[in-house]
Amino acid sequence: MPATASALSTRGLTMSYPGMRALSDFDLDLHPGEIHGVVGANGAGKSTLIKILSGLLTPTGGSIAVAGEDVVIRNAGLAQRLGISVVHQELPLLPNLTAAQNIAVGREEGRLLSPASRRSDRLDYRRAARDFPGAPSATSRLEDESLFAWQVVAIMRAMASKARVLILDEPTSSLTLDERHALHVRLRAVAAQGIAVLYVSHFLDDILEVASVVSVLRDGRLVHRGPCAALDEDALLSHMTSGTARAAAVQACGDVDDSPAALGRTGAGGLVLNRVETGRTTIDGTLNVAPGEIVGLYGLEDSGARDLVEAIFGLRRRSGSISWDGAELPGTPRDSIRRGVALATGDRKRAAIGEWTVEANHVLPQLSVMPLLARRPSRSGRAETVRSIDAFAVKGTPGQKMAMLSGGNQQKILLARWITTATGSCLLLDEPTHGVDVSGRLAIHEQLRAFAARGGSVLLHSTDPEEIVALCHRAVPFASGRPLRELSRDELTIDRLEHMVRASTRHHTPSEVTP
Amino acid sequence: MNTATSKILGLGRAAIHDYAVGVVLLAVCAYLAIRSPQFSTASNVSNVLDQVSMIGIITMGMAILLVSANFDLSIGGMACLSSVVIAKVANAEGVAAGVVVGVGVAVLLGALNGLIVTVLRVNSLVATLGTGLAYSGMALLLSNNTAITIESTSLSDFMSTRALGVSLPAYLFAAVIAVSAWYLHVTVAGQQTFAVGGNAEAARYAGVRVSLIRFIPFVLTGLFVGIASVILTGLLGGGVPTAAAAWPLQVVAGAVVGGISIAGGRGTIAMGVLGVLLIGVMNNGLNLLNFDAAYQNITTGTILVVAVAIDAALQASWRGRPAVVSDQPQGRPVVDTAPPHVLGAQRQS
Repeated sequence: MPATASALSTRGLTMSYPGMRALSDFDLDLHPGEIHGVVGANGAGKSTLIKILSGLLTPTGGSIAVAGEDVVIRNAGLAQRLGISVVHQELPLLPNLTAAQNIAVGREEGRLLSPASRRSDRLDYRRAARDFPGAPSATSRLEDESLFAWQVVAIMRAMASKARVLILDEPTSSLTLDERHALHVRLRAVAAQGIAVLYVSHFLDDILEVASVVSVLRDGRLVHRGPCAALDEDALLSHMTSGTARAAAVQACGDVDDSPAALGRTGAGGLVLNRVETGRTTIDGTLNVAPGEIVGLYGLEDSGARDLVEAIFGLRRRSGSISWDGAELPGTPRDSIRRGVALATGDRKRAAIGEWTVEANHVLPQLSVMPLLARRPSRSGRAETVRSIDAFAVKGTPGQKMAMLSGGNQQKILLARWITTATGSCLLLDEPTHGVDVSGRLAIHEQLRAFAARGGSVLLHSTDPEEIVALCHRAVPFASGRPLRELSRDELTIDRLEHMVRASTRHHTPSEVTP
Repeated sequence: MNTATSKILGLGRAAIHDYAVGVVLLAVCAYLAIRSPQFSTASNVSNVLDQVSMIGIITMGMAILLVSANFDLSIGGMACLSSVVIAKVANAEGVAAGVVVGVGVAVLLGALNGLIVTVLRVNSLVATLGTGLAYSGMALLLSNNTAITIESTSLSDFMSTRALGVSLPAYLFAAVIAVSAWYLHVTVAGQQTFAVGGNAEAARYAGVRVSLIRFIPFVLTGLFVGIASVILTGLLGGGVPTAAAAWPLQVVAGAVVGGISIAGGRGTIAMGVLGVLLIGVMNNGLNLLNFDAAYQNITTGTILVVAVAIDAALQASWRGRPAVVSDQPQGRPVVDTAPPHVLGAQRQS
């Protein structure tokens, strides 16, 4: 059996949820000294795999063996004791501590009152840093360091616990080209010490540069595995995207009425963006959303499309011109709401007041446009809240605390409060179905289509191509803060969206990066 | 259990939770009424009301500030400065002018606090600690470090005006309670204050002008400090530059004992009133029972800690109950839980 030679191996690893399989029958043999790349589209099962291997999720089927011995990874602590170290994408380090302290913190076993061994921690750090040229100095605080230094410290921390397997989750997403190469050099050195590296990324060029073997996941299944040397980006991309089951299914049900799109492009009304700039995001030409139209902005995380949507609503500073219904939008949330332009975000922690009742959350936007010293509405919100609950099939009552509802139901309320109350005639959406179950999504999509059919304008930002294809009359893929070529309804497919975005999602060249 | 019963039980639970301090207040009053024959006399009741009214008036402002998740520690310095200004202007331009200018100064100082917090984005605890020190320094400077007596006694006489056995400060307290309750519990602005205190980001998403809603309570607190300073100056017959130095802690203690959360978003005007009354009655009772004045601080401090500890315990026990409706999202997995070994911070871009 090859299992004896593997640092980590899985057989038939499966993670099922009611109605879907996030990962099915996944086999993996991770050999010491090997860098194994994992690629896949959103929802392909990459993060499920990482979570299972790091002990954050318990698989519903299959087995895992570490160094030939079958194990059940019940929690993250156990994963670490088994020698599986994970560098998560969000780099959970402490900015207020020095690099050396970041490595040492939490590992000082049973010596709470003994003096902190700063000196020996520093020495240990320097010894480890010898293998990592580019590691920050032991005494510098991380908040003063670059993202690359963070990445290096995170890897050093993962290595410090006698790792046998190192799992990296999107390690290069914010690095410059040079830093990326430097990181890959370190990783090769790590692998040369006999450590098995699992490298998960959506940057195909990274995978091809550093990994020796690549596994391609699609819809939770392994669809291709082979040496990287035999592949180029196009081949990899076609493994990732072509003929996905989802793509076919969505196309079948996603027949959207095309007429308003045609009528909209010339109309003076609707939402019109002209030479808008906010943060790293720039729209050079114009972008418009006519009444009755749903326009999609598709991009990966950090594509800049979210910034644009927030800037239109007035949450971010912006330059350029944004008009709605023929008049300029002044650029504060309250003014936007007054004019009928609303933003619903899928980030419910930011948008919901958990301690408040469903009803109070529901009426809050209406409250914000009333004169401050007016009497606050007492009972008027109840009927509207009940209507939203019925229309969106929310499991909950108006009097319940928002925090008591499940995430998906909170989300429905946060969207419904703009639609049911007719506060908005232009809806800006930021991942409106993020973390919502399948039936919840369908309910939300149906409501959005009805909203557009009534003459509302919808600008939808989503990182889920399926959603874009299911809802939009046309879509603009977004990458690195810029819109790519607009896709009409006829051209709109999941494959094409992913292809365009991934093909142009490149790391910033060093000249583009501003400190 | 049918819904009506559970609703009533729920309301009862909420009332006991929110206003447990009222029950304690009643118990203390009953005990004192038995132990001390003087306690329930009209003159003593009026005396208690006089004593609590100054602190009480400012506590109303602090209550609104706390709900908006801010703080004002400068009220002591502000009241001292305002009181000195009232006395100086009253001696120069007449008592009416003194009152108007004194209250005006307090409103402006409150607005200054508000600007520092909302525009310069300084943490309100730090900002008002700093301005409070500065304000009290100015009071000393302006008064040459001595009490300034007002020559005319009209203000003092006015403050001791009685109607229905109760003197003017108690009426002013009642008026301030009414205004604060109206602002916090009747108006749109009040509801928005709860929103900002509960989740400022969510309030911003809903279109609330967060800075404005944070600014107004500072101005209101300034106004109430001005009113309290007029009472103080009247009762003392002049401006004393250090007379209000201990007020900030008493005001915060009153609000917190009443059950107003210092984390923001939770509290009512009634809680503030009950908290102030409880501390006032306890102090009065200790006085009547011939305890040394030093015990007043000890009891106030003890009540404060015990009240907050009980509140925390109640919260924890009620949060532990199973939710009435809870359904897990199905299909697409959502994992909200952070990895257990996460050290905490994320890199801020």
